[in-house]
Amino acid sequence: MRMRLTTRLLGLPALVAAALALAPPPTTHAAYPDRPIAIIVHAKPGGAIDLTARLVAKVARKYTDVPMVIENRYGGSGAVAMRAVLGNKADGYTVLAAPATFVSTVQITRSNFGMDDFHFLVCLTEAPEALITNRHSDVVTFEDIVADARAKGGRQIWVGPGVGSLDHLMAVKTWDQVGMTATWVPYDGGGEAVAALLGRHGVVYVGNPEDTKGRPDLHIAAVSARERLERFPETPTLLELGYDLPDEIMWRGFAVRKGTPPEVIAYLDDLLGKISRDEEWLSFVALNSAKAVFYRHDEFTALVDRGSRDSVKYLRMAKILASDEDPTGRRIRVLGWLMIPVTAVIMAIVLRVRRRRPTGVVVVAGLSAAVAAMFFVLAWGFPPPTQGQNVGPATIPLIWSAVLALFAVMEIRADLHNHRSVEHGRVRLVLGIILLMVVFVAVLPRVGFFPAAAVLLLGGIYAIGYRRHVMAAAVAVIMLAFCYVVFIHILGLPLPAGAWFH
Amino acid sequence: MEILHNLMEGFGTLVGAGLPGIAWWEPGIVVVAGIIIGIFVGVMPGLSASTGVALMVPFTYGMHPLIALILLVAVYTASAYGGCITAIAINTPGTPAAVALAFDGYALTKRGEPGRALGTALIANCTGGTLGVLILIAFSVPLAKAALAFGPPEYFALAIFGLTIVVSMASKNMLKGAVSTLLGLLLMTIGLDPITGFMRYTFDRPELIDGIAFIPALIGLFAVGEVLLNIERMEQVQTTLQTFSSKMPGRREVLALKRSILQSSVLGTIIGVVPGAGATIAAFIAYNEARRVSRKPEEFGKGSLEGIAAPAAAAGGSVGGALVPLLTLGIPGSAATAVLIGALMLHGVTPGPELFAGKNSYLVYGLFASLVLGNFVLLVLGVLGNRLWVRIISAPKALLYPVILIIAFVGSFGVANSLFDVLICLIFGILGWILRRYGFPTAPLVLALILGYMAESNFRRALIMGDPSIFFTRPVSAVILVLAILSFAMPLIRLRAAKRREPRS
Repeated sequence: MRMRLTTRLLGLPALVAAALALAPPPTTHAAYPDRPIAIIVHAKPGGAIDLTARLVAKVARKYTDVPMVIENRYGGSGAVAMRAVLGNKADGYTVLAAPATFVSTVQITRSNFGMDDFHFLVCLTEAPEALITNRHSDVVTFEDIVADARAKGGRQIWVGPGVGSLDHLMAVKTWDQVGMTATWVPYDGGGEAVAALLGRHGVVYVGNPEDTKGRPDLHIAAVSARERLERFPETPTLLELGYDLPDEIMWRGFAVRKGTPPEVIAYLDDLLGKISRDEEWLSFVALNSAKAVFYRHDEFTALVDRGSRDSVKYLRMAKILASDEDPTGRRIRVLGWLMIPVTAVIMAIVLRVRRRRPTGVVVVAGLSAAVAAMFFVLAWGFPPPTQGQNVGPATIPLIWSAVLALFAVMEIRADLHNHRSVEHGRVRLVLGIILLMVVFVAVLPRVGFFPAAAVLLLGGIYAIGYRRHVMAAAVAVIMLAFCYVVFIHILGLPLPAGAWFH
Repeated sequence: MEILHNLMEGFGTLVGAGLPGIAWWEPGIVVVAGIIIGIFVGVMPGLSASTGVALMVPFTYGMHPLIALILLVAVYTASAYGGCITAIAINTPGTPAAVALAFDGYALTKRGEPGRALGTALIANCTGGTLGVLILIAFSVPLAKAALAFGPPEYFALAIFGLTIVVSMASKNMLKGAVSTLLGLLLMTIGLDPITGFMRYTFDRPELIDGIAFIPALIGLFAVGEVLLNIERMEQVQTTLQTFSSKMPGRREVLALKRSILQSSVLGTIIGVVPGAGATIAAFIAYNEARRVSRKPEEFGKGSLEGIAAPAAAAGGSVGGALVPLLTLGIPGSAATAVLIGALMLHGVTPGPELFAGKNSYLVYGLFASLVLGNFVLLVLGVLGNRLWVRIISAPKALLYPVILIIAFVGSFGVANSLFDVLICLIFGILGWILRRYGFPTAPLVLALILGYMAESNFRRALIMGDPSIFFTRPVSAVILVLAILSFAMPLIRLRAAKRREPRS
């Protein structure tokens, strides 16, 4: 058995070597652009910025021969998308679709990069921030909001998408300007927040004035603009109400990594300029609840810089950014990691005393207990609840980890008392398949999807013991062709094709 | 009567009576195309209904708004069923809502009867879908009003209620089920804190800021874990080819399910109305309720047809439900309807109450009719496809398993185009194998991953709004929580009673 498995798996390095041998030919440089330009979008397909980027790509077809393709890389409120752009060469083939929220993202996620790492090309749309209320509640106008806030003394609830988002900062700025206090309750998206306002689980919703479109129950109490909006002539601006908030806007534009050659930047500027004047583009922007604008590099960068300064100030005010690092944090982190060996030692002692050999169940339950202990200790390093509230970031992790540890210990006890052995099957074969999968995941970014997948497919088929070579090859070829046609061609999934395919 | 009238008007619109720019055959073709695409979207793990709909949006730019709407809704409708297919055939839920279907559906497949399971799921799904539309037409306004009463305390209560199902999933070994559940809940606290934005347990990995991606974890636990477990238990000699029957369930069998299907469809529609709750929770709660009222609860988890029909009907019904807040309030009821709103706006149509009265009202009735038509087309295509799926899973396991692994990894990558998610899928695959090997059920872990975030974020939101008594002073939240406590306690009490009786006999 052992021999056969070894010979089976011996083929594996050979296959990897073969895959690597199909190495990429060195690419020659032609005039920019000679291959598709990727637009990196941080939101899921279907979001406002995704639709904007997709339309830019569509309109761009009229003005350039190379296609622009959308890559959705969501995660970390945009941190993942920004890193994806910075992880590529500054050659203009990876463009970032950048919304205004990114300036606070880099702060909140304490990223090791900043807005300075990007060259901001063109800002294409903007939308003013608005304070929106429920027409059927007691708080409708801006004066109502202020009076109600003073009456409730900080317990008035404002809702909107996300924590530290542009809308959240708008709320904090307004409270600061008015000299009032209120509570921000973040939701997972604008839609959920609007539902909360309609259900009167909050008093004010912060968002785009166009969010009231088709929702007659909503009322715009005030809007941040220099002059009253054409579409909403009744709505007062915060400026005329006496507050210095004239241009809080949600902008969306495009950026590339800093260091991109000037001729490439000139090309993209020119392309985006043509798009910004296109009829199809203009009609889209109007429908997508924004205003079409065209801010070039200097103006755009000034906008970003102002946003960065503001976000640091107001994120601190909202207590999202701590002013300085907590010195006990590091010690707790070390202690947390220590919990894993500590638990292991305790387990070993218990087993020794009971004169038992560790069973699988005990190991699994013991590992769960170790993870629970680690999470429990680490949670002590989390910041305490905001003043006046009972629960903070640590509350729920503390509860879950304590209960998990309890159940895990009970399970270990139960297993020591009443052990049933587990049927063993072809464990070596499973370990072989796991090894194949690990190799697949490890080489995927380097050799690309198709060679890696071929190794996993054929390796798996042969390792399990199938020996009809023609059939095995046919399945592998059909499967890879299917992946190519469906995922890469139709769905445009940016599977790592490996340098081989460029 | 008004329902019928509206529906007739809708069918009139569908055949293009008096609508310029639409040929009479166009809606029919588009529905069929949408259903086929939707089934495919559902079948592929990693492609959720919302992603599927979003990917279709660019194709609709040049279309008439009604045709665009019909296409997108057909994709949405069919993806619910598509997810059931893989759950039944290879224990790999194509969509999160289909997780509850894998328990009994896959059990039937292992007995060699995937045709019965697929047929039951299909019939239940289409019935649920149609009932959901009828409820949508008749009661959308009062339902939407009720949905607005759902604030953070109610969502928290709903999440807890959803969690009670772990008791029935882990009936074999409560303690192991509890470990599995808590492990899932704890892993779900990784990432940005939902209220303060503090980064918890991210270990400086930017990929972990949003927490562990749920779909890759699900694919890993189910698809990869299942393949590994099967490989381990495979016979040494590879010649034992299992034969699978594509035989559909008989008429009597289906009629016996009518109560379960009806109850689950209504439940699915109502839970679907609540924004953010969606098909997944609907399917789980429907499964649990069907088991509670069933005459044969002991069959659940071992291939009960009721256990297949309930989640499938609920998933079908939730589509109609999710459209209720969209049409009446302009608020998405689910991720897929959120994309639908974006798509409608691109066509210059603003979803919301004004849609019924304005010049675009024909869209609403056309949509209703196309939903009914879509469910019918789905039924026909599903029956035809049944043989194909059974054929595929009858392939030699040595060929099938590596193919499943590739699809699992590609699907995980496709969720966010992230290689880190491929790694997550692998890690959870190995974890799933180990857990299952030693008798820890993985379904409670998945359920905890689904509900953990909903429970915590709403618990925290509720406690910003008021003190802890808020959960019991608000009527809806109080009722759901009491139901949840009963639902937790009853099976435990029954189990204890059964255990006490056992030694005597």
